[in-house]
Amino acid sequence: MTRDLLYRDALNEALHEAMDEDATVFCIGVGIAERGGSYKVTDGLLAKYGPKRVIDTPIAEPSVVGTGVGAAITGMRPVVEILFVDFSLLVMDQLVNQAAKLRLMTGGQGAVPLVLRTQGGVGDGVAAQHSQSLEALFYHIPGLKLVMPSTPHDAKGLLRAAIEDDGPVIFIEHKLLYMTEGPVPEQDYTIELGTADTKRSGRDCTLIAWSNMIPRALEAADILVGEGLEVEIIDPRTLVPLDHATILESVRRTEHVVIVQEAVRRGGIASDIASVIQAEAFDYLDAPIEIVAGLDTPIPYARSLEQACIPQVEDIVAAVKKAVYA
Amino acid sequence: MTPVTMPQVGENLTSGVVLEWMKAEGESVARGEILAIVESEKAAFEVAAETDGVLLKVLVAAGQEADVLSVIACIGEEGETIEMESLRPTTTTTTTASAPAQKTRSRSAGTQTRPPEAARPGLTVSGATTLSDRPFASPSARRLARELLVELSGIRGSGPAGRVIRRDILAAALHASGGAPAIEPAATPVPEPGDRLQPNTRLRQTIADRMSASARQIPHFYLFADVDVTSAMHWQQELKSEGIGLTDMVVYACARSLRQFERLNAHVGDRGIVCKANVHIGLAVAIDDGLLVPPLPHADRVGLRTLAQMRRTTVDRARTGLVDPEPATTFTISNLGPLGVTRFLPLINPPECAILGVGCAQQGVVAQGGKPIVRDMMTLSLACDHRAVDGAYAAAFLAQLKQMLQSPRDCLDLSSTGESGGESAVNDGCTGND
Repeated sequence: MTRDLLYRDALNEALHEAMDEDATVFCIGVGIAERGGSYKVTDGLLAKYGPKRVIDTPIAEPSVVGTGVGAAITGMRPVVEILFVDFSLLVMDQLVNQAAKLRLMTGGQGAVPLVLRTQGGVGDGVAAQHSQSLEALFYHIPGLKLVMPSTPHDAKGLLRAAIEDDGPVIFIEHKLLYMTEGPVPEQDYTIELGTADTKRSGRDCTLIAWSNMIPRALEAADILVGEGLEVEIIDPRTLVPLDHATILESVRRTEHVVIVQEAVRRGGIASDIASVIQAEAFDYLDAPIEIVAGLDTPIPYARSLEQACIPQVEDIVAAVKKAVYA
Repeated sequence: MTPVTMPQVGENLTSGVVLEWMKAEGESVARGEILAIVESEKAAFEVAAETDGVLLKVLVAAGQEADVLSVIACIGEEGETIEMESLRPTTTTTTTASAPAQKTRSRSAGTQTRPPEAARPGLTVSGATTLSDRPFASPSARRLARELLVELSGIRGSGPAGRVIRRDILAAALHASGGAPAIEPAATPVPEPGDRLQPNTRLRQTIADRMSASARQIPHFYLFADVDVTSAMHWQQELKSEGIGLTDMVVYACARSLRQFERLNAHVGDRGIVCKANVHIGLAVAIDDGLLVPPLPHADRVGLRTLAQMRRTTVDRARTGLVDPEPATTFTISNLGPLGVTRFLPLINPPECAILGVGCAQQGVVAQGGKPIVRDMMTLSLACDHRAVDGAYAAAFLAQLKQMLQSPRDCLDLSSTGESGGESAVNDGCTGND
């Protein structure tokens, strides 16, 4: 049985369940306790689990994440929230030099079962310092896992799995998805990290997208049906580890590929996925791989310019048509 | 002075043979006139003069081979000196002098005209290197062309800048198959709960494409023969310690017979049937979710002992997924006998012309001298390409196999090597009585 939940409520449920089941799970971040988080994802946790497990902090990101990393090394399972991925740049040393390295530097004796929750992407006019898509920075670092759910169902199942994982896991939510609704099972479930989901089946073109590009891709696919084109939409859901098998199977079937990312194109994850495809499925490509990505620019504050900087539905439609020579 | 070069008429072709010079040295030629006929592996082509003048020198005589894009003659004004150094026919494709691409016109039926976008003239890079005018094609189109046996160079690409893409190959295959859809449009069946997709492995996809091409393009016909293998079975018992089985006897008999029945050891080409010089028997070997056809090279040149050993090694390797890509097989044998199958209709493995299906040996009641007797019987199923052979020819082949297998001790040579043994056995050793 399922019921419809908001993305933010699905995440909230995942945190409640994880804290119920495992006393080592705790939440820490700016404004997450009393206020319930800027997006209400941690709502109700303080009342239920008390201030020792739901901790408000000063605006001091390095200390917050440092606390989380230290706690994780001792065996706790912290869920740290950094409001906006833009400010995770302040905690790169804690994440990259400490959290990502510990397991290997201790020969597998140590682990950092930490989840860093944060928000990425544009948010309807929150300007250059609060609108970035920085997933490629984490993608680049060996030792970090990277999750970017696009639906309430995926958000809940993946957050449960991320908390259970021996980490560290960077969990990037999207500001514009919090208020989207979708079916979520009533019973407990997790989604294994590294499993992609086919959001829509089709035979003409494989469209790979994640996070807030999924709703746009679905919208584009609806439009393309009118032109006789059936697009298959694959949501990797976790970018590290990346589900190569699902992507390649689809590509070998459709022979045309479009990859959509909100992040700027240069040095992006789309390029890396394209490199995997050309290496593993070269003989199956009937056209160059199309990448639809954000422009190489800081996101402007003006709404119209913001929109011009990131992929829109019509950009995706055009890219698919180009990829299939339509 | 204008050089005349060996045209590049196919993507993978590296050389061509001059069949005939239509003009002699010293004869004047007009632009567009046919100078020579050259032949590639696939077809023959006319080479036309690019310019008016006199055929000054023929560098590659009729019957000789030359690398594509190498200079085979030159045209100039009467009395003009020839710069021999720059015209020497080359043995590599990288050092030819610059030359405009020859206009070639296919003499084979159909679709050999070049797409204008792809017919780029040879480009001269620092006066030395000529780039070939290969067509641009997507990786998928190239793969499909290989699998559907479509010649890439003849296809006009519909993609940007004349790129040949998947649908162009499908259209060409459709054309070649006379209008039947090259590949059925993928039906979208209504999914039911519990349905499970088993994604195609590359091997599965290759088998699917090749067998579809075979069923679609090759006019198959089938002949069957019931063979009395009673004495072969006895002999097999005696030879058990040497690991020689009935299958080896069948392979042996086939390989030797194919020397005589060369039309069954052939490829169907655009202009005729290419009878292969050598007999490389392919053995269909079942592996996990698939089928491999490893070659037994020169299977007609070895005795039964060596053949059996060769077959064992080859089959064992194939079962682990290892198959030598060379030489290409010329005739395939598929043995479903061990699985209890009595007869079946195998599909020819293109570009071959025939395939033999071997059924199981089992006791059967046959009439002899007006009485029923029990004998060990086995059915051979032969599939042939009707473009290459007709029923009577294939029947004669099958009759010879039958005769050899019914008198194995007389007709099959245990340890012969080289040419002598088998040939004589085939020609005069068999009496048919056992």
